[in-house]
Amino acid sequence: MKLNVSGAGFHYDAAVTSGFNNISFSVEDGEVMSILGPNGCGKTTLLKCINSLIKIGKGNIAIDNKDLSGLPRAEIARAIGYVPQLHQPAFPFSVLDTVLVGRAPHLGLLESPKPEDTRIAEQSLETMGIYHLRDKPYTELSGGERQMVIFARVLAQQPSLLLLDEPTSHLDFGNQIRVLRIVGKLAVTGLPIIMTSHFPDHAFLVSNKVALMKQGEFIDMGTPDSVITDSNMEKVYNIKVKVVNIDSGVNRKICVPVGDGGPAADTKNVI
Amino acid sequence: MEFLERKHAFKMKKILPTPFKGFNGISAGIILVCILTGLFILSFAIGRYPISPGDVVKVLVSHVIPIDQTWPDVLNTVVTHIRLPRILAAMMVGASLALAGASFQGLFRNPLVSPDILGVSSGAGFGAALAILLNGNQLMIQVSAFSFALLAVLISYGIGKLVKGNQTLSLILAGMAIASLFGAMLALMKYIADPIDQLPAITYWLMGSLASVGQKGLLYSAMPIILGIVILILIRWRFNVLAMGEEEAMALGVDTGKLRTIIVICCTMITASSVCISGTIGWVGLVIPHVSRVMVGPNHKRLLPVSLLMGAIFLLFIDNIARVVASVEIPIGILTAIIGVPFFVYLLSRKNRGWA
Repeated sequence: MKLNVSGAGFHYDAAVTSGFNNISFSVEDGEVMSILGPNGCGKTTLLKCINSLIKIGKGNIAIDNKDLSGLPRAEIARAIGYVPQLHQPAFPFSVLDTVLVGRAPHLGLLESPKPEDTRIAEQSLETMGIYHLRDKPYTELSGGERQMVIFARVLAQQPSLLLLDEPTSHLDFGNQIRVLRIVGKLAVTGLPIIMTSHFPDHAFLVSNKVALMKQGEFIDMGTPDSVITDSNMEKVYNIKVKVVNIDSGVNRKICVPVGDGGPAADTKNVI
Repeated sequence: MEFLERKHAFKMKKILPTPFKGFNGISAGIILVCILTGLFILSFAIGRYPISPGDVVKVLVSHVIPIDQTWPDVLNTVVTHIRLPRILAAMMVGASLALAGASFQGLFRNPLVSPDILGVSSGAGFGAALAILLNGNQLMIQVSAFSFALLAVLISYGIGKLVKGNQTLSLILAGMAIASLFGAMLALMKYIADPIDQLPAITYWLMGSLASVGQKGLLYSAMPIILGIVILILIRWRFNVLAMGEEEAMALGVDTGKLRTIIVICCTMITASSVCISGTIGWVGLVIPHVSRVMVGPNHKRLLPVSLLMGAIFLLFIDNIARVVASVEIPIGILTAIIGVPFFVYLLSRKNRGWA
């Protein structure tokens, strides 16, 4: 599977918050690409355009050289799975029913899930390690559990490309890392993944490709080590950051904000 | 399909056996069909002219298989010409309103929505009042009510389409606006109506009644109702996908615009056809989906058929009360509220609610 985005542009419209222009990149099997950038830089809009939820104004997006713009929705959904930011569902569907919804692109207008679909949904729950939640109402789950259910749903969809919109936002520290482990686990199977994130550290953890987005444009793209640098971070987020390597048994880079420490630094001095 | 192969990379644990889930769809369906059948037979038996249930079955069966007549001729008239249309109408209207309510609640992802949300009832009310004002006969009143009900929804839908952004929200707002517009025009009709004969006729129509449903009206409205019901029941699983929200449903491969149009057309067809023969009957479309959700949960695969059956049972039950309780018939729209509200409050007060 190969996704090709070339010269894609989308312009401001009253209905959506931010546009982008002249975006080109490609993602193929085994790649995990993180898109980093400040709020409102157009990350989410870009993901929605890749999924054809919004039509791009310029350029083209193709999967395996097949242009997406002419394809029916169900066919796009069989190729691309989308994990949206956390939401509150209107009705307390059971976890299994929620996951079964992922089978929609494989079913006709008049069809309901068959035993085979239920089996696939149950396997997705197994894969995510949440089979025990099968019959619980989705609304009674914690934020972390819900995110797992939505991941199970996208697995049941059996796509060949995953788009994750800030999968770690609104989750506590433990759940953030748990979700990233899932992302890593899926990537190992060869499934290409594109995720937006607010955390450069997460890009170091799971991705092998990083794009930096600012005001609707990619200002740098490449391996995490080459893109997430002191100067790039300052350029994008307008804060001073030091990218340092943690040795002691971890051997991975992290981003540390530097400069005025505020009250936290004061407390340290007092003690 | 590539992904199926990839999945073997994960360690598969043995799938646990399905835990017991209590009330499932099939058992609920069987119970409700039995209740409805019993109530159906019983409804023929009760009334000003009591008939034994055995005779009811015999008269009904005699239409299908020729059997020796052991009952007086008058029973044929009472059962076939007087009670049958009314009983069928009660079941049909109840089923339609409840199904349309459940469908709209799923479409708009809001459990507080009723089938009136796009202005069907206000349009029908205005149409009926206009026909009464013009001294129209029963058929004209029905046709006018039906036409204005469709017109109201059409305008709401058109306005909703004009607005950019969230389609669900703009549809609801447009529906509210159109409903109050037709409400105002209805008030105008009442204001200029002749207070001796026209005004009471309008008022009675608005209270709802199945007393004047004839075989013809029933037949005409049955066709669109059955068509709409069949389509909604066939596509019912898709409501689960729609309930995830517009954008997610699209990401899951659903052409939401097309699906929404189909649902609005079907719901409008069945509610307009119901309202035009029965008058405005409130409450069924709101409360029955809730009761059904408490029974079988929010999955539309079970919820829609159960709402349909529950609606038929509820309105048939209420209409029986309307017929027999007092010497003067009580308007059914009043009874649905008087009996429906306490029941609804009881459900709300229970701890294990099915929708929150």
